[in-house]
Amino acid sequence: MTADLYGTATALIERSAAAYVSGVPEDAADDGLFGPASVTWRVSSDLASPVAGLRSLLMQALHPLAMAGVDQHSGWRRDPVGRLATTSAYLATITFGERAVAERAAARVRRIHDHVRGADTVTGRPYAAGDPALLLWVHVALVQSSLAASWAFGTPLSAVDSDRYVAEMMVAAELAGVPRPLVPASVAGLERYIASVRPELRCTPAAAESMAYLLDPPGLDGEVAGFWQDVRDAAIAVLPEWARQMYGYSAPPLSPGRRAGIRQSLGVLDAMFLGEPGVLETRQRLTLRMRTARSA
Amino acid sequence: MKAKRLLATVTAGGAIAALALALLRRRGRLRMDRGRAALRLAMRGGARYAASAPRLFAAAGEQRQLLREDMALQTAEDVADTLGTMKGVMMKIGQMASYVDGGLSPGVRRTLSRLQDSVPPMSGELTAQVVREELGLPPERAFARWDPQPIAAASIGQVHRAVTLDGRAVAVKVQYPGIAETIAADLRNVALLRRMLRITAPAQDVDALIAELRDRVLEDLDYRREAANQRLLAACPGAPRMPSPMP
Repeated sequence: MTADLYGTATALIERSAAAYVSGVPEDAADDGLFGPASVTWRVSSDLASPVAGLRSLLMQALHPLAMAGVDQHSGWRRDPVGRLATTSAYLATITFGERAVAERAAARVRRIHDHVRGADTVTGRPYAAGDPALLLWVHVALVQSSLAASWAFGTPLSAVDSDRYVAEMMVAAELAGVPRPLVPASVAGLERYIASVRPELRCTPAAAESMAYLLDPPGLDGEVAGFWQDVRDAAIAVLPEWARQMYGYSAPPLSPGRRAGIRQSLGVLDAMFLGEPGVLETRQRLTLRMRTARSA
Repeated sequence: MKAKRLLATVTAGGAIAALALALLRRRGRLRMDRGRAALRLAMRGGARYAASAPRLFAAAGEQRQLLREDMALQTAEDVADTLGTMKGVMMKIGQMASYVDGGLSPGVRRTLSRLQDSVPPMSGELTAQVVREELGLPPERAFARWDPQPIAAASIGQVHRAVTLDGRAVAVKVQYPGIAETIAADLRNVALLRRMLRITAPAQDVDALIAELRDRVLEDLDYRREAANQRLLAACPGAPRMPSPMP
């Protein structure tokens, strides 16, 4: 069991690296949906990305219908690494892929969502994964988590760039199937939207159980568990207070020393990511394109 | 204090001096066979090795993307992104490990060597900025001649050819800005070092490794100390054409 889960942690890095490398085209026909001058490209390479990812999942799971859809259809429990790798491959393709490739990937996901329907066992309410309301919650949770995580543990964006990032990311929500007028276009818009959804949010048994598993995978090897604990503490620390309360997490404010320690752990994880085949070359290609765009 | 990060070594093939010295220390402290072999080569070859110094560095596990000028670190923030948050420390672990056979798994070895590959040189502007901060003059005025193209990687800095105002050919070692403070801070996170080393070198005495790592790295960061060591070494009878350092 321990060996398996150690393998799981390694496999997660390997597979998200493979997803990253395959998502970034080598001789791109076009700059894709965002391009090298975008804030989105910068945010995507932030040190705090693992924290952003975990915080996104914690936020997304608080929507009972979104959680029910994942719980009843995705089979993530059988293959949690595979499920996470699929998501990171999708994000890499949308972010860095050529337009046509990004659009094809989105169309594929929309088709899969068409088949994900059911009823939440807690509220009894029916759901459909293609429902723009659910897709929008998932979108906003991701965008807001990236901002929160990089602000606390990575390279914080200026207020202007934060707004630009939110606006740039609108196209990702559209691709998933949310009509553009519904999508928040600024940081203030994100906050207003989240406040409007809050009455629907709650920690259902499915959310509590899934997130407990994710935050503390049973039998994780001691040293690997140390890294995971840092990512977990960081993700919980940057949750909104009300979300922490829903889960029942207590999180004393992080001391500057603890924050530095988490950043150091994230640096080690980043180095492990960098050690995977093709990651260094991919990063260098992106860096060069971003530099060219900046000096243009 | 000013000259701490800058070491000029008077020699025809000055890079060799710093290299040989670094290897000597390694031999003395860690008894690492590959280091010793490289040291012998360097000492025997003398000036002949100046031209192939980068290759010698590569053999010692310090391959650096010297040719990737397009990737050059342009700002102190670039340096922090590349070598901060433990990455500089991990590179140092990689260097230590490259002298110890069989201590690391192939995966960890690959990760550490990729990490070393990921560090490009400083841009000419950034290098000039460091020189200006340390010597109070831009390199073209601090030296009679200054080659903006680095000739070798120096683990947390790089080496440039130059000619001093009084006409001596030197190799100037320039440390990345801010890196000494960053690495010293990262080395204080003993819990994380322990965790990393338990993964990378489970068979070793982890606490002894940490102590060794901290001593060695803090020593490496201090270029003035290196200069003093070189002077000492050059004064040894029988030292083969040993160049003398200039603070």
